[in-house]
Amino acid sequence: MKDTLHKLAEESRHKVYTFVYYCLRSHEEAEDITQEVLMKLWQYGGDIEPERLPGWIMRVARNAVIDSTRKQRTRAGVPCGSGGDVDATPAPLSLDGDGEQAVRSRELREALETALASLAEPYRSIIVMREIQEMSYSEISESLECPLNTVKVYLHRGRRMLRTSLKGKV
Amino acid sequence: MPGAQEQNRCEWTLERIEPYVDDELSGAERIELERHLETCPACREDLASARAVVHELRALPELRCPDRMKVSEPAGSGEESMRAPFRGALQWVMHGLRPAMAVMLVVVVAAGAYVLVQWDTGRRARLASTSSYSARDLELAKIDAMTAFAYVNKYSRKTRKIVRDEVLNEGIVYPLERVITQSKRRAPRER
Repeated sequence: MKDTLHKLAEESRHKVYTFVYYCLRSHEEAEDITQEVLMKLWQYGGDIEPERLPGWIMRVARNAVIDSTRKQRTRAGVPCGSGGDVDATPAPLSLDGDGEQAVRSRELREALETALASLAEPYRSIIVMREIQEMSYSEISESLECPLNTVKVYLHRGRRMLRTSLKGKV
Repeated sequence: MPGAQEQNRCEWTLERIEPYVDDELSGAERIELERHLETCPACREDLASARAVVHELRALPELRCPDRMKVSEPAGSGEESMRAPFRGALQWVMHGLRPAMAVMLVVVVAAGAYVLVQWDTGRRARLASTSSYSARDLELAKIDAMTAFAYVNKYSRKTRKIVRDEVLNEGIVYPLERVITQSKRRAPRER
């Protein structure tokens, strides 16, 4: 069992880290929550059927993200994701054609990440899992414990919301 | 009224643009949507922006978690060596025994108090019927009885605390709170 858990911890740590980062836009939070999820995996993973563990891990990660969002909102009174700690490097002042393109694509990426992190649940989690992490509908459905068709509906609705917040930028 | 019809057609299309991008429309809907797109620049623009958002999302990289992150078994979790089913059964038995142990403790304390009272009453009766005890003996006996009652009081307080914390809170209040919190969390998902 220890070997299985170790293998799973190794495999899923990047996945959990990516998921948390795009939901909260904070590397610090992503590290903390990933560590917390791995601790829980060691603590309770032995009591869960091995084939259900990947979905369980993502569920634990998502619950931690929801808790963190709630705490941040309570503490600061502002929406989570409105200004993370990432990519704070300033852009160069004078730019040639390629540089301009690079800045534009960087700005677009920032706007996209901010809009994504500002989405409500479960739209945010579903978009990150599906579009960035390329998880299948059934994997998402298991992780979120909700029907597959509901996942599809939320995904499409969430992308439409993203489109609305990025209007004029894409 | 062609304007209103056209607007309805645009709304119909707007609802299907995301499934269209994911190639999840039925054949008939797909054909109808494509026919509308040929004649509607606004909907074509919506489609282009939907595709752009998906493209940008899929271009976001998967991140690597820093190597300093600990993935091995944390120190002090030696209980992992115990087989999971056995550990589960043991926890279940221990959890199930808690109320019984609390009740047993209450019974033992009550029985102890009863015996002490009986013993003290008998002693007082004996003392009253004989004059061979001095006033000092009586004073010492009184102190003994007070000490015994102090002990009974102390353990009954402890028992009350165990009943409150482990039986009522752990067994009833906290699980109920968890169930309520979880059902509140699930409620929005099931909309």
